[in-house]
Amino acid sequence: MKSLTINIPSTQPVILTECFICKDFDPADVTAAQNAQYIKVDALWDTGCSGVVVSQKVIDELGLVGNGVTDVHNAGQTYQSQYYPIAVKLPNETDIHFLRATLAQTHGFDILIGMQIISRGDFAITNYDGKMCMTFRVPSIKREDFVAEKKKYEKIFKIRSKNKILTCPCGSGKLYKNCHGKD
Amino acid sequence: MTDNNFTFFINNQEDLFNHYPKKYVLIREEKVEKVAASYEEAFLFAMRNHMEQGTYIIQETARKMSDIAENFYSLNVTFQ
Repeated sequence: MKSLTINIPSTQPVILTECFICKDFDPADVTAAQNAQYIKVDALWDTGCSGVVVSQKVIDELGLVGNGVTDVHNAGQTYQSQYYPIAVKLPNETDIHFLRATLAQTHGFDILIGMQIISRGDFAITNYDGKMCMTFRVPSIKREDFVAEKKKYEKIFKIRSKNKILTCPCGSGKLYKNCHGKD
Repeated sequence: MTDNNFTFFINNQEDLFNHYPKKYVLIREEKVEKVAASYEEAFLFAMRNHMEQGTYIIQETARKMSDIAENFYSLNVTFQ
């Protein structure tokens, strides 16, 4: 399992990381893996994007050739794009193959990491103590459910209340009612 | 990517959808060379048979070509 955690500054309310991209290859082919030419790019993580999007600059630098066609819908327009086969290496050294990227105009980033990558693992954004944090791991190992978690906390709190222990079981040191007991 | 392969796919879409529903077809020289259950399988077939990129296409035989949504907002600032 490989994981990645990024603390997101409050001045930058988007998830922007670096990553490496190359032409996709057969991961079982050792020679192809050794010869893969990765380029470093800025990546924007976007759960509202169904696939993976790359800029024209990336297509030109890697000499990508399309291997299919699709319609692309974005906030302002619909257009047809070729699919470009790419592999991505995330900052935690996770290699993700068999991606089909489409082309779009981008500003301030070169690749949009959408659900085609995010759905390969577990992804969460938390804002605990006012500090935004994104975490991602591949492969998925556990289902996270905040509703079920709240019920679990409430059950523990009931038992602790009887024993007059009112601190939150999460370990923050705060009173439960001011921490996970808040509605 | 050869335009001829894509034209072949468009012209034969109905037949392909009926014969190979919800599959990935690899089309080369205007012929279906491989019908795969996943894109990964089709792509590996092309790689392992030394097919040069740009000489084939892989298309999904599902009626969702226009359903794929890439929603994003461009950033107008540069991050450091």
